[in-house]
Amino acid sequence: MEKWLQDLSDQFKLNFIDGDRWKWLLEGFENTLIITFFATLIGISIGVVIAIIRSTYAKNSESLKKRGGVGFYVLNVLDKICGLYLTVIRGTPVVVQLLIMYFIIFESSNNSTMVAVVSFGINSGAYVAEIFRGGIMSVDNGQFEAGRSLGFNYIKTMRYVVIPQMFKIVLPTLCNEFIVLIKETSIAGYVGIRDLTKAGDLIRGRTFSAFMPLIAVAIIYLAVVVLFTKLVGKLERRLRSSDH
Amino acid sequence: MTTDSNTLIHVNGLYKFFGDNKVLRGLTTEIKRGEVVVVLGPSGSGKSTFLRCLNLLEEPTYGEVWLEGKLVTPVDPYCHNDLVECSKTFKKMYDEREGGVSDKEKLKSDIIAEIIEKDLINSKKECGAYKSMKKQIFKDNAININIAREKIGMVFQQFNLFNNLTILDNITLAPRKLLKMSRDDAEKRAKELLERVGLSDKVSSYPSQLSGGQKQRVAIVRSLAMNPDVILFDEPTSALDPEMVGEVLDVMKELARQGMTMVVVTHEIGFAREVATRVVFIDDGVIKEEGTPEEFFSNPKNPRLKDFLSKVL
Repeated sequence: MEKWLQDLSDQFKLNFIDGDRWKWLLEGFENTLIITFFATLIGISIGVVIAIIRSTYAKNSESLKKRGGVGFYVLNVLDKICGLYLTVIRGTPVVVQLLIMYFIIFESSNNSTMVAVVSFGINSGAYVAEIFRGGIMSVDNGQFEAGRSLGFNYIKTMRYVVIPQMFKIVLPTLCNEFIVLIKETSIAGYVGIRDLTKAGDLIRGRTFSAFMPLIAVAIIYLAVVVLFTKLVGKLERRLRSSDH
Repeated sequence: MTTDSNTLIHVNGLYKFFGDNKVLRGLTTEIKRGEVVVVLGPSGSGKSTFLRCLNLLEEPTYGEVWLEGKLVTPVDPYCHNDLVECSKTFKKMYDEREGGVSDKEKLKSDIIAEIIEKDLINSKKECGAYKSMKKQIFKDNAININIAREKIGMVFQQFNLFNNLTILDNITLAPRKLLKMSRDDAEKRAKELLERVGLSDKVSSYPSQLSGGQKQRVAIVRSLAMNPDVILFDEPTSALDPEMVGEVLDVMKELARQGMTMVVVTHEIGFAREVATRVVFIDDGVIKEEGTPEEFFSNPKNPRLKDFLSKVL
C-alpha cells in the first residue's frame, strides 16, 4: 500500500510538477475554454438567424408570394442557402470541416485558434439552428397572434414575444449542445492547437506514462460539464418561476 | 372622410377561401363609432374569420377593409367578378374622399369609372389597367397594418397572454415599445386599468397563476392599454368555466357603457340583447340579417336565423 502511494506521488510529480508541466494543462484548458466560448457565441448567432429565416419562410412564403414583390424571392433564396448550409455541415464530420478550414480556407492564417473557433462555431450553428427552429415552432401560435394584434411587426413580435419563450423551451437542449461542443473541441489537436486534450497527450509523450495525464484531462472535462449542468439547472429553475 | 365620418370600419366585399372551402363570400358592412356589434351565427359560418380579417390576422382572399378612410387590406392582385361591385363603392369613396381635387386626380377616378363600365373582368388587358390603377390608389390611401393594429384591439378566446411575462409586463409591453411611453407612465396606466377590472392585486403574478376569467380580464386590459378605437372580441367567454363568464361580461358591459366601439363574436345571447346596438347574423359567409336587438330577436325574417334562434334561445 505504501509503495503504491509512493508510486502515485512519484508519477504525479513526474507528470505535473517536473518542468512545470501542469502549466501545459492549464494553458490547454484555457485554449479549450476560449474555443468553446467563442464557438458557442458564433453558433448561437448563426442559429438564431437561420432559425428565424427558416421559420419565417415556412410561415409566410404563401402570403408573400401572393402579394408579389421581391420579398418572397429574397426569402426564398435565403431559405435555400440556409438549407444548403444545414445539409453540408450536418452531413460531414467535424474533423473534416476543421481540416478543410485549416488547410484550405484559412491556409494563409497563422492563428489556428481563430480557425478552430470559426470551424466549431459554424458547425455548432447548424445544430443550434435546428434546435431554435423547433423551439420557435413550439411556441403557441396564439402568442404570436397576440403580439401582432397589438401592433408589433413581425420582427418585434419575434424579439419581444416568441424568442424569449423559445429560449426557455430550448434551454435544456441548448445546454446539451454546449456539452457536446466543449468535448468536441478535443479534436482541435488535429490542426496543432494545444487544447486540453493535446496538452495531456503531450505530457504523455514526454513522460511515457499515460495514466496520470489522461485521467487528469478526463477529470477536468467532467468537472466542467458537471459544473455547467448545475448552473443551467439553476437558470432553468429561475425561468420556470413563470409557470407554477 | 369616407361616406360617413362616423364610420370607423368599412368592410367591402370580403372573401376568404381556405382552399376549396369558401368561408366568406362577399361580406359587406360598416361599423360606426360607439357601436357594439354582436356577431351571431352557427359554427363554421365564418364569424371568427370575419373578425380576424378586420385586423388582417387572416388575409382576405378578395375585398377591402377600410379603417377611418384608410385601406387596411393589401392591394388585391386578382381580378374577380364580384370586385366590379366593390370597385364601384371603392370609386365612390375615393371620389368623396378626394372631393374637389385637381384635374389629374379627377382624371384618375374617371378612368376607373370607364374601366368598370366596360366590364373589366371580360378583358385581360383592361384588367391590367384596373390593377395598376388600384395599386396607385392603394399607395395613396393605404395604412401600415401595424399602425392599424395599434388602433384595433383584439381579445382572443384562448386569452393568449404572454406566458413569460408578469401581468404588469403583459400590459405595459406594447405601450412602452410601440407608443414609446415611459415605464412609469405605462405602469401607472396599467395599474389604473387593472383597478377598474378588480385585479390590482395581480400585478406581479404570472398568467399561469390566474383563473380563466382573470386572464381574460387582463387580456381586455392589455388591449385597452393601447387606447384602441375599436376592440374585437373573438368568443371571449367560450373557453371559460360557466361561473367565470359573468365577470368577463361585466367588464365588457362597462366598456360598452363608456362608449367603446366593440365587435363581439359570441354565443352569449343575453349579452347581445342587453348591450348590443346592432346584432348581425352571419351564415354561409355573408350577413343574412342584421338589426337592433329588439327587432332581431323578436321578429327574425330569415328562415335560417329563425331556425338558429329556436335552437339557442
